[in-house]
Amino acid sequence: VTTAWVVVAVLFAGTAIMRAAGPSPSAGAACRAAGPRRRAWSRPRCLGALVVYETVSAGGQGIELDARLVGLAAAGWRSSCACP
Amino acid sequence: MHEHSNVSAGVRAGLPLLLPTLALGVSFGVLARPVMGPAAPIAMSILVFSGAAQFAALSVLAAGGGALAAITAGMLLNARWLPMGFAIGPSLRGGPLARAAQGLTIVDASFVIASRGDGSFDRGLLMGATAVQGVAWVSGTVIGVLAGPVLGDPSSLGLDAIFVAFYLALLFEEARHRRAIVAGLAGAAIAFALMPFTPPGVPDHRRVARGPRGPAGRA
Repeated sequence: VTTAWVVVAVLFAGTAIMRAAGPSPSAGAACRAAGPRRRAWSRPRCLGALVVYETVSAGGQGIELDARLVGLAAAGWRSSCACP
Repeated sequence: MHEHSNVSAGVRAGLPLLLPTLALGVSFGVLARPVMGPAAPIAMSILVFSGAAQFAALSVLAAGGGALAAITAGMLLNARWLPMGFAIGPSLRGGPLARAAQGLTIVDASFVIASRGDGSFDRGLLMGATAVQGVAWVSGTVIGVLAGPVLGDPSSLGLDAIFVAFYLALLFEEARHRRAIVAGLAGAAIAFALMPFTPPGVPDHRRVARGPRGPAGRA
């Protein structure tokens, strides 16, 4: 079993549990707790980290500033202009 | 009590998403084949069916990260399904198993399409729109995996830019509130600070686990 298949299997199980558990009545009763709010903030933090990693990573070995940074700046500027 | 649309109405509502989802699926297939082989990306698109999680896991694997780092990255992005399921639960019918099965059809765009704006959701629109995206996502992945060897190195075509574009688009969707913006910037800053010293995947996880005393700390 390769690493890729392990990732597929575990992500499949985890994703199915996350999707299936939410609509259950007992989960609905518990959703007023602070947990979901906490998880909600983990998503923008994760995405912010991924954007930076993909923009300045030197193949997983440190930081490299190159044309990707210019592309990110242009995309960010364009996206922010599109916001209402 | 709201009436639910039938699934075919959801399919019609989801049709505008067909081509963009197909294109993204092709990108995923092309990028994933050199890293995961030909079969695993297709299985992943069928079984996981979550673009953000799949791209996040692929990013870590492509950078040389291990299974644990890739799984953690994917699951962090998938954690959103839980609160989305909480929200949509009261609009679903049936017993626990039936509701769990319907919960499997939750994806981002369908969640938005199915929302009535008053806190309730249209089950038929949810399922129909998801069906369209599911077909497009899996078909796109298959096309990408098959076309990958013909196209050659994805980075030579600039296709690896899809990672940043995809994450940035999701981040802009999230960044509608000051706290979300602060959270995104904090994650970016911590990842930048850790990248020179940590193996692939770790910067992403640290910023979620520790994070500064920002929004998560107050939640």
